[in-house]
Amino acid sequence: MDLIALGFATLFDPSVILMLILGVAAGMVVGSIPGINDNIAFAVFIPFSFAMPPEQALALMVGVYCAAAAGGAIPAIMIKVPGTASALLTAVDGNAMARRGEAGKALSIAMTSSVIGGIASSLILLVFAPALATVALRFGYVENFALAILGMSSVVGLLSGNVIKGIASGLIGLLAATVGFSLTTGFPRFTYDNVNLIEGIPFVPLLVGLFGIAAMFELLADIWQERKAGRSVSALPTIGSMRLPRDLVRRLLPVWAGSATIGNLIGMLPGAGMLMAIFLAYDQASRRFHRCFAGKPGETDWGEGAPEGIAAPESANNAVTASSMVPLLSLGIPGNSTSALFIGALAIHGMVPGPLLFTQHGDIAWMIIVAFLIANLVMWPIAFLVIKSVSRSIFAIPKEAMVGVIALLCMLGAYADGANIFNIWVALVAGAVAYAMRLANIPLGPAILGLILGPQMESSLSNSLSMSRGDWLVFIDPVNHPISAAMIALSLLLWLLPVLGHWRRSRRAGLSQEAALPAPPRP
Amino acid sequence: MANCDTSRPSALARSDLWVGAALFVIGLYACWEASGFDDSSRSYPKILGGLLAAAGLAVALTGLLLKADKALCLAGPLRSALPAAVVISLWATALGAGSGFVLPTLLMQAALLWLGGVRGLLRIAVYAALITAAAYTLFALMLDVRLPAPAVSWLV
Repeated sequence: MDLIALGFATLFDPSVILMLILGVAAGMVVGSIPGINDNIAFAVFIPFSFAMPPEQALALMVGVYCAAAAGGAIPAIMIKVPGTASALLTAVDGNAMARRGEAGKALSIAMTSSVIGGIASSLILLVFAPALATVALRFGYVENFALAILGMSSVVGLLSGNVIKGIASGLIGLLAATVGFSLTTGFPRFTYDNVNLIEGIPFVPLLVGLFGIAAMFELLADIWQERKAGRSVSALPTIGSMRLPRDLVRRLLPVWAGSATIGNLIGMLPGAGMLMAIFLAYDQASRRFHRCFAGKPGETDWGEGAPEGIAAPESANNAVTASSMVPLLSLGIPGNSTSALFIGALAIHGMVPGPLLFTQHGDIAWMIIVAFLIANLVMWPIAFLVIKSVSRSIFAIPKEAMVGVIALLCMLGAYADGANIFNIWVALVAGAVAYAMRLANIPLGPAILGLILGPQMESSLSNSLSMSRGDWLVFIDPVNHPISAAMIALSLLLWLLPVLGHWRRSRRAGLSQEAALPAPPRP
Repeated sequence: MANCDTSRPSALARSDLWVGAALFVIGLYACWEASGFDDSSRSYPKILGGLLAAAGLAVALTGLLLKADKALCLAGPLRSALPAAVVISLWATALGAGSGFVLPTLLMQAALLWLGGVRGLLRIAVYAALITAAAYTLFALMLDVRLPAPAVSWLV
């Protein structure tokens, strides 16, 4: 308790708390720029922190880290271009809701969900940090492969149409993730002697293209069709009221709780990353929506503006921000790429994350933990201020002019990742491929998940197999790898449940049809 | 795809047939390319390529056999997205050729604005200049991104 009080005392120095608030505001604005992902937003602020005392610098970084993940939802909802990778699923239902004239409500759901996820995660970090770190230590290659399989299995919840196309999409993502040097031997694969591809397809430009450039193409096609049909070009959605009705809050409470739990669990696993948490939470929310609300009067389809489709990924992504600090602060192992940058921020000020951090710099370590809680508390009013002022002005730009704005922001966002013109080509090609996939009704979600999980899946598979001398049963060994066996069982369940559900529905439909048939005449 | 003909398409005009065929070819190509990798690096991409080819075949067959498939309709995308892709490609080429940032970006913005339906030379010029200036301020001045340098000193 004394240590927590020490953290609060360090944080509540006026200059430190001011830096935290500044970080939240800046992170929210920067995060809402398409192409500037959490990593870039964080990296941009590291140089600013050089000259500051460690407390101020780290408070600033915590603010940026928390808010950038939430800010990405703003353009995702308004123009279907995720500001950060963490908002890629928010774009689906969020933009659909905005196009229905409920942009304010969608933004409010996103921000409230982020804050709830973040606060839940901060409290977990505050109370359980040292204990939870021991769970993370039990994850080896076998468990990481099982985790990747579980992540890929979550795509089942994303597939509403042609399942084979969804599987093909996932395979495209996994295949694209093999581009670059082989993880086992260093052999260049699918690189065609291009040095820019030796470390794989650059991820930030790829993501910017898949979402931003594809969204620009869609916008142009919309405008072309509206003009061809003789209609005047409709405006971009206006933000409008941001009030959340009480019944909607009640409806979303279980989604927030479930998604925050998933975010916390995934966040503290080293290397699992924010995106896997988002996909798993989205999958769970989709199942709940189909079970409780789909087909009822006044309800939209999943992916067409369902509030759960915004609440789940936003709650999960901010739950990851603090929980990814569990392995970092306790063991020195980063939970995701942005928290890895935190090691750099700490190192600049002469600190090494790990158990020694709590003994040598207890005030700073506990201040960071407390700062996550306060950053999430102040994020809610700041988010509303940013949306009402900065975002409202940006999205007042006419739809026709928005084409150029999106193209330039996305292309420069892609270019900024390493100041390389090759990245612009990657974004353009990725945008064209994503647009072609949309035209062909191939879902994009599984491909993204494949891209993210691909390297982890391949390396953990090959390492597990070489450790077990080629024994594939190692993944379902309940004695030596119970966590892996449980995750594989859960993955199987994720695939089987929709099939069983479909079978039960068709059986029930068959029975009711039989009952409705007139009785055969008696002889 | 609101402008597509919604009447039942012929077998060869069905989109899933072509989508499946494309996936099949990509999968086979990945398999063939992976055969040239070393022993330890080839099996994983080869399996993925094979699975993709199989999935493509399944999509093509369902497109051919199921009558509910939609017609392939590319008129809208070709007239709207393709010119924008060409404009961005020319812009990227100009940046790479040392034309600096400002002039190619102004021209790209003007072209995209026109494609987006903005009309009037003055309006296009003002919008293009504002967007270019805002992007330059944000990326070059505020975020300190090193924008493509011009080959000649008098260009920005």
